[in-house]
Amino acid sequence: MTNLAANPQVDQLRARVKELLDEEKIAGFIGYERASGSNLKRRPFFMVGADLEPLVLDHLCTNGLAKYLMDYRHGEGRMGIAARGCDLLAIKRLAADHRINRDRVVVIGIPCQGVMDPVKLKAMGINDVAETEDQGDTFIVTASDGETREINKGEALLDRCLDCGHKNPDGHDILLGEETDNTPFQAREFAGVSRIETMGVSERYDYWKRQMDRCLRCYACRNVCPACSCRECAFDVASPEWLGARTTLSEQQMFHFTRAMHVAGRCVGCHRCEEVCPVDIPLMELNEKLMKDIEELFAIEGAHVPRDVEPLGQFQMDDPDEFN
Amino acid sequence: MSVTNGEPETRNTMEAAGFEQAEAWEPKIVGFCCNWCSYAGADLAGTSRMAYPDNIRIIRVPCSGRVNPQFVIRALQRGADGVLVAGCHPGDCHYSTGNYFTRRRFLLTRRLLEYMGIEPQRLQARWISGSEGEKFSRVVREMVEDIRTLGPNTRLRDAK
Repeated sequence: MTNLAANPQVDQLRARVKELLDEEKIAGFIGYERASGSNLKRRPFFMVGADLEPLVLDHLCTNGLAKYLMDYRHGEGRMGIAARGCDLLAIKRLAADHRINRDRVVVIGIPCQGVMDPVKLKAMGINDVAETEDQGDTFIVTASDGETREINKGEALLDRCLDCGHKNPDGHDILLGEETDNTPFQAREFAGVSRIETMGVSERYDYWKRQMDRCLRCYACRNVCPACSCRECAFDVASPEWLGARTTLSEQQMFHFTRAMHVAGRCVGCHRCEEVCPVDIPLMELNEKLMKDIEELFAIEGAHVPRDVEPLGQFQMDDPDEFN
Repeated sequence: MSVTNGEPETRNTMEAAGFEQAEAWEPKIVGFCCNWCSYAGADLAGTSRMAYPDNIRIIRVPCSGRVNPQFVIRALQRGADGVLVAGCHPGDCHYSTGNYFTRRRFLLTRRLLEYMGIEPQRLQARWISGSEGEKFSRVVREMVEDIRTLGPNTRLRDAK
């Protein structure tokens, strides 16, 4: 196996984490490690002891880590976490909802010019990545046997990275390396939403019926979501009885409508719901529809950025009115 | 930003799709009326002997802000062909601001429902004051006609 310590970012990260631990500024750290069974996947890593060996950081570390902070909110001391711009939005969301205490979190911010989509890599015939390097317009990936390959970012990036305008981890405590150019690769224009909006109403119904019929009601989308952190989720309680939990199409449609409405104006646009969905329901097409409407109707810029009072928790006297 | 950019379903397509009992079908509408304005408006329509269709079933709520968008889904799931949410005019809310929140919430709810393929006419929201008995009866008449044109709601039900 290639020595992962060759990646300078990992060295830096390990050094900073070690420093924080030695100075007892953190009691543990949440980062990434290599996943077993795949040389293409990284998985969340919870470090509570002192073994930093498994800790990695490369462009395949894509899981959202912020929600795990909730597991440590009652523990002793502070928790450290590695966070990119998107994760920082999630951390702000949880803190604004009083689900974590931001003072008890030490964020090591990672400037980011995009991460890779394992699905796209597989499609290119890449199944083994030991090391990654960002070269601006391309990534250089090195396999375990040392073979390198240069791939265009446009072909390898996760979709959510294409229009990302949060490349610097705003609100970090410690910055890993230097700030990066925050210009998105492409404008944020909700293309998926616009495509569905041009369909006829029956066509749209059939489209969503096809998507939601697959739902397993596994609640992975909810569990990973930084905006879904109610102490008691409406879908976990026996009453009210008008929230059904059967796996019928009707109840699945109801679930997805309700989930989208519950995060309306609170979704940070991190795409993790979609990424964890085992049956690939395009959840962001629902979230982004609400974002787009909120921005258009209420003249709010960046509906996904956590703010003191959320769009549906406030109003303007002169909001549009079509109910006369 | 028009809410309606899809073609309306006609009753004929419903019949062609083999929907039974089209002959006997009458629109069923659930009306959520706020206690302070719209419910009083409905009351006024009644005491003034203004005729309006009996297709509406009124549920009294303390404020239009009480209406969870989930109620709309549940009504459509369980047999309603349309849902009306009625509250005080902006500025008139008994609780000062409840209906401003309703306005934001239902502007989004209608658009999301339409986006998911539910005809937007099936969810309507209206401001109706306690003195607007005439408006209440007119709104109900218009809505019944809208829903009659659309035909029975089959969406969000398990009838596939």
